[in-house]
Amino acid sequence: MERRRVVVTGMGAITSAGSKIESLERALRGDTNCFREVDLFSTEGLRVHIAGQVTEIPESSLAGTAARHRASRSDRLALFAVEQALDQSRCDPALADRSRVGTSIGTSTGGMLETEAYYETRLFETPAGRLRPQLLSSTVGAPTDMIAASIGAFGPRLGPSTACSSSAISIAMGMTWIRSGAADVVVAGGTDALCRMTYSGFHALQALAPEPCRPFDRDRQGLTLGEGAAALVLEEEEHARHRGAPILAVLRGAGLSCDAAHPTAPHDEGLGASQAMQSALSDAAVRADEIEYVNAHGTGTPQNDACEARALATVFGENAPRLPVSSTKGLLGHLLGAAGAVEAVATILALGGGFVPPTIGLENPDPECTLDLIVTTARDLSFSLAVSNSYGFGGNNCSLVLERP
Amino acid sequence: MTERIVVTGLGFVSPLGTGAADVWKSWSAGESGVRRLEPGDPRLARGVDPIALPEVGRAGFVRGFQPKEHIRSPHLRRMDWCSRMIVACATQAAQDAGLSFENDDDQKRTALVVGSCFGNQRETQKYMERVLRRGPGAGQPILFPNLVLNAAGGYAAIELSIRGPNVSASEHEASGEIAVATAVDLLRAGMCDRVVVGGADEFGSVYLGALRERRLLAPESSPTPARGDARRGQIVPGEGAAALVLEREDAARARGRDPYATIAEARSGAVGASPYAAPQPQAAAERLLEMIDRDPISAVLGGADGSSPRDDLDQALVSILQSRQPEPPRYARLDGLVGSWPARGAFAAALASLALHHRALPGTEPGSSGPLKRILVPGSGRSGVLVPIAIDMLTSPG
Repeated sequence: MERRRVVVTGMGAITSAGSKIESLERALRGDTNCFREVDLFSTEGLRVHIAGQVTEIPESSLAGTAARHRASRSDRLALFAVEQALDQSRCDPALADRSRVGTSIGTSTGGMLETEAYYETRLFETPAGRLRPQLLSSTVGAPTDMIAASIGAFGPRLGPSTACSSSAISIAMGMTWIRSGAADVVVAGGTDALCRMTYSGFHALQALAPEPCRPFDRDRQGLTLGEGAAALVLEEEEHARHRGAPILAVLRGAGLSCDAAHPTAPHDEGLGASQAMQSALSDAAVRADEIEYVNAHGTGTPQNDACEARALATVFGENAPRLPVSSTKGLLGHLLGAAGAVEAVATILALGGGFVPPTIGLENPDPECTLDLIVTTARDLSFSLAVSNSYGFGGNNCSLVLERP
Repeated sequence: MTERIVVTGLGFVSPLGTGAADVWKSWSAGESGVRRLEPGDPRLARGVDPIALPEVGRAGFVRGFQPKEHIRSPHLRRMDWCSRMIVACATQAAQDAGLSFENDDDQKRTALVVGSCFGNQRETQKYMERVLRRGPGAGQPILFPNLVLNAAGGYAAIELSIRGPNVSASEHEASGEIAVATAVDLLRAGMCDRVVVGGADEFGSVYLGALRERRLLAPESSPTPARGDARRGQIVPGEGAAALVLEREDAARARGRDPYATIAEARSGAVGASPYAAPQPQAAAERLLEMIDRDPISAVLGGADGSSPRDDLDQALVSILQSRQPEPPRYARLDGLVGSWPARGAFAAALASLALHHRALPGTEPGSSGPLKRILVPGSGRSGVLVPIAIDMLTSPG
């Protein structure tokens, strides 16, 4: 029996490049990063003060007043991204068979910014203050719930949280639901707001670059954090064609793996990363030499980029030095749990727009990363098949194969 | 016809004991795991539980758990309590299923799924309090990697050398059931050949604070009741973990395994509810039953926890089943046995598998003695999420 094909019919993204998908595409074609000084919380005493912080989160019409009152910053980012995606897809879950609309929004920290406020209240207010209403949104499953309940989706639901691969995995799981027939439409994506926990944590690990990050550069010193959300409307192809939805891309396949090596560091040879890519290619029934662009995880830490380059060399062999590769983290920062979804959106924009986004900050490619690294300006390139990679703490890896329709 | 998915291994770290044999012994003897920690309790000994539990009174504390007996990894000293519970359960379940992950293919074709609502609450609190008191530069690099929800899944993968898909997820009170449903999704999608799936939650200030401030905590579970009015509540908090090994029946039998039970259905869905609000019980019960086939349900291992929405949902379920089946279902609730934690659904699914294997469901009311064939674990949570798990007795190879 022929497998049900999964297409992307809508996309939304809110990042430090702006609140609309058009602003993201403009930034992807540009040559400057979208970093600024963090003012969501104090960074006093740290050696780093910048991030890809979102300037303004427009109010979404998806959630009612009570829900907005309970919503965390991550929830609000997700709501606005999903609203854009549904608009572009011309999809109204309320008019569909709701039991066949799934929701999967990945996040690394969910409502941690609000949970921090709760801890602060417990610590410094006597007597301890009342529970903040946003505490209901503190868990990492909360953004999925907020979205599903707001749009009235009664189909499969999952809130994956696998650190920085969370939203790539949310897209992969959405794909499996459509293929299995459990859903016809899935709203998939990811969201993560900046918070003190991650900012201080990556700083403590000495993983934050003192200057804007420089993925794959020989002088790279670490990552720059970002925040935002992205959403994709995944849909069974015939279902999409029947209702005349725009088809932006085909999600050809996904591969998941685990390094099973170290709690934080990637496997030295990129074993898990190459396994995820190979699984994704096999799932997509695509040969490695058919891939024309890789949107790398490319965090800008010395170890991650070197391991990913080794994994790419393993998978793409003699083609690796000619394979266009870039990391959009030089532009937007590392959006942690939202990174996979934002980068899937960036990859689809590139497929549709006939360009390869640059790696902002990359000036002197690391000679150990023998790839066709796209430096600080976008390259015009018409291509059909791309891979987007996401890796996370815990060794959780996910690769997606995307195709121009 | 879709190939049956069977349960071939079980692991427990729970208030009823550690390991399937201990848990069955306690459960069938009618014991409760709800207690108060007394001075001298081994649970308070250094190395067993590195963080004190001053906020918890009478509760479902895990019993008989010595992490070193289950975990070989040098990472043990860095592992938080939630991770220790999951790693130990996963190890037990894998051993119980006769899996060793020695060859490359076994490692790559095995998935690991973990469900937890809060993950590592206590170290998160410890970490954040330090940062809030001393400033953002006071973050501890040793703790930070443990604060992500998937820390437990990562440690378990390292312990067992499981290199296939690794998914962690949170879904409020249905966090355990959602893990089982995700495991089934991965198997049915062909992304793996077997899954070690578990759920865990530990005590922590966010969970306990939420219960206390909403006046849901049972009085003896709150040594320092907020504003002296916590007595309205009925919820006895608990902690624990359980893991199951799921695989296709043919593969299990080819390995010579005699499965505990088969997972007839495990899927997620929802019913209308406001964001973060509990669904209306009658509508949720009806939708839960719509989501599975109409084979008679011989028992419900309920999700009741003493709160109205969850107790009423169980009651509505049993009432509907009584009206539509010739044989009324047996009913058992777990909160009196072990207390309540959001990912308890994985524990319930593991208990149900154990009960079907032993052909007995301890703790059910007298008079409901029909044959035990199918047990329903009715996962439900905030925002209307529903995750029914129907587990069937294995009578003959499928």
